[in-house]
Amino acid sequence: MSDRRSKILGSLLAASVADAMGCCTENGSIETIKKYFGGLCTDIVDMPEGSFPHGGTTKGVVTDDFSIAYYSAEEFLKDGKVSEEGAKRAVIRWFDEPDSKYTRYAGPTSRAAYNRIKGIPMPHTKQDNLVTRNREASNGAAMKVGIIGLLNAGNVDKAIDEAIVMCKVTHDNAIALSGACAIAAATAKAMEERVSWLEVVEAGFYGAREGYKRSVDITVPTCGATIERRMEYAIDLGLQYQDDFDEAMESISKIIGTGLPANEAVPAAFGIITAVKGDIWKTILMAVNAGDDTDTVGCMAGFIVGALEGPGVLKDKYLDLINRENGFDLEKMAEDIDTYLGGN
Amino acid sequence: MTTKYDRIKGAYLGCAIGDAMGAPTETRPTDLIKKDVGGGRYVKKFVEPRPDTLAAGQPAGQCTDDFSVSYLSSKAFIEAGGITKEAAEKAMVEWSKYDRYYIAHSGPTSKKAIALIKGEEVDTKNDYACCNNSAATNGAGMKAWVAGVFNMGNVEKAIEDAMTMCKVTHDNPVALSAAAAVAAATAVAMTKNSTLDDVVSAGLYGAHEGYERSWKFTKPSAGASVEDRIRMAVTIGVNYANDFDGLLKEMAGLVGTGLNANEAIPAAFGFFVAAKGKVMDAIYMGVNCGNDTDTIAAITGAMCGAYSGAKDIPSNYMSFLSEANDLDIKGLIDAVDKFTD
Repeated sequence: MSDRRSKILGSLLAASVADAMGCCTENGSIETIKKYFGGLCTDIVDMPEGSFPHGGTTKGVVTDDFSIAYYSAEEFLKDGKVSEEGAKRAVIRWFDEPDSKYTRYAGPTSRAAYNRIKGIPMPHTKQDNLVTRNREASNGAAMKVGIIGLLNAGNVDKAIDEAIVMCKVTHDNAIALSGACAIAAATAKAMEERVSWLEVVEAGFYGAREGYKRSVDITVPTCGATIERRMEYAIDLGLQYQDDFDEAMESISKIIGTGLPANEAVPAAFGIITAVKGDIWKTILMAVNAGDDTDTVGCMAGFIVGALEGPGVLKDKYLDLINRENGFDLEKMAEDIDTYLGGN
Repeated sequence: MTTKYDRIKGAYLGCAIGDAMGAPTETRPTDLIKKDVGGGRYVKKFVEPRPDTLAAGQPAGQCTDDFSVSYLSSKAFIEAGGITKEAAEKAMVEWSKYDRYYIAHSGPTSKKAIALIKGEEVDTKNDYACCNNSAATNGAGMKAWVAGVFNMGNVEKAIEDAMTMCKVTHDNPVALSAAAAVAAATAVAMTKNSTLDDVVSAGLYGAHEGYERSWKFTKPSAGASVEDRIRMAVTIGVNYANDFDGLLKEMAGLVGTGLNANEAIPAAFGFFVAAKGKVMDAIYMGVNCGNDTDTIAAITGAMCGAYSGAKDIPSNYMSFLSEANDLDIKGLIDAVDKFTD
């Protein structure tokens, strides 16, 4: 396998493993997770019916984060390009799939977007009269956008533009898109040869800034804390506690937050990557155990560090499980993305 | 000298002014507040809300949930002889009968709680989750300053009463941490020799204690720490005390000024510090900071009013707000003064 294809597979695998493992801890606080697992959650496990937090899930099944990314990649690869139409088709296919394992995880903004695309009328609410859509500044754009970084390996600027094309379909919001562009840009950068977490974080900053700038005039107005400013703080915390896993995890969770808003989850992902210097397994562990929207933070960070490092030990341990439980073929997708990129 | 009466008046008016002045700016970012609402300038007076706001159709000076819930809660506590769960519940049910406040301004967490108190059907599809993260909103902190006024100088009782009062609607340790912070800070602000630092320290203590104590009886919750974010907001308040533009940009950009308890309440503390406890200065910061402006302005206004009294509040505001809201604000202030003697 070429280095590039290996990096792509690493990215897909780290994102999907973190998502599936995060499914076991999502919504919990650091304390409740520790209590349930008797320490850190360190593996993908079955969650018995009624148990915390997603009872009745089979181990290895991913949630909305990676599954929407995967479906989107399939459409883009089929078309040979990233487009709004392809992104819409993916959302519709994902929601309409009979007996879907994933739609139970659908976020509020993506669901509203689906209804909008399908022309399904929604009950009028008092929010509809407002000039802003502040609640749509959620992490559902950034969760799926790592795929755009892979399709634009090494081309940070194009990754930013295409992240907006893909994610504006569901998240017509400059804060959500700023977060998405940060993840896409960092993933694109991580695909380069001879890069470390530092260059990747720098590309993430560039993506956050440019993503906001390029989307603010074409989206519904919004207000909320900025991705860029909170990223600075999160990375500062990551640097401060670079040798202390627990302190880093707790301070990022307590001060930055790891929740549904894009301006928590995305900065937290970069803080975590910084704290563990891009180590793939430690990134997954910290994201999965940091509480709140663990699977999303893990999926976003996974796309980045997986591209940086390649699949490593994750391949033997989890590739079959993820493929089997989800009907995916990650190796085939890595090959297709590698072909899509051409050259080499 | 600032009297007790004056501080009570400052707190109630501060909350009412912040709420009413912020109602037309709520949900907008700072640049659109200036452009659309302030005619190119910051908003520093009562204006009629535009049709594209939650307060659409209200006259200038009408409050939203922040002051009206605080007002009715205070009345219920006086009637009950103190802050009790029953009185807090009664106040919320009573409040839901005020169409002018309830229909447009009931927040997601309070709305569900009121329905439960009334024994109505509620949406329980997310109740299976171990943690109640979506209830970590600022609707507890917005009214908890009342527990500080009722317990002036008594931080411990203020914290306990804030939790009694607010767990009725917010069964969540992050929301109750914020409520206890506001109550503790207000209780200290009400005392005559307190300094800004005393108030902030009490707020941090309240945030810490409120979080720790409420874990024992609430549903668990993930979520960023109110205590840590108050520290962040106070640092910004000190740094940008003389730079209004920079203050708003940094507070909104880093701390955040939204619906979540771990954004709005820390921001209110940051403005309290930046304004050095001056009521109108802090309210202008809250009104123009973007997002949940009315709640932040109401909380910071109440804390500053408790700290500085009502002397800097324009004298015509009391009658204007009483009329616009059809509420006897002076009657309530008199009653609270008597009750706390």
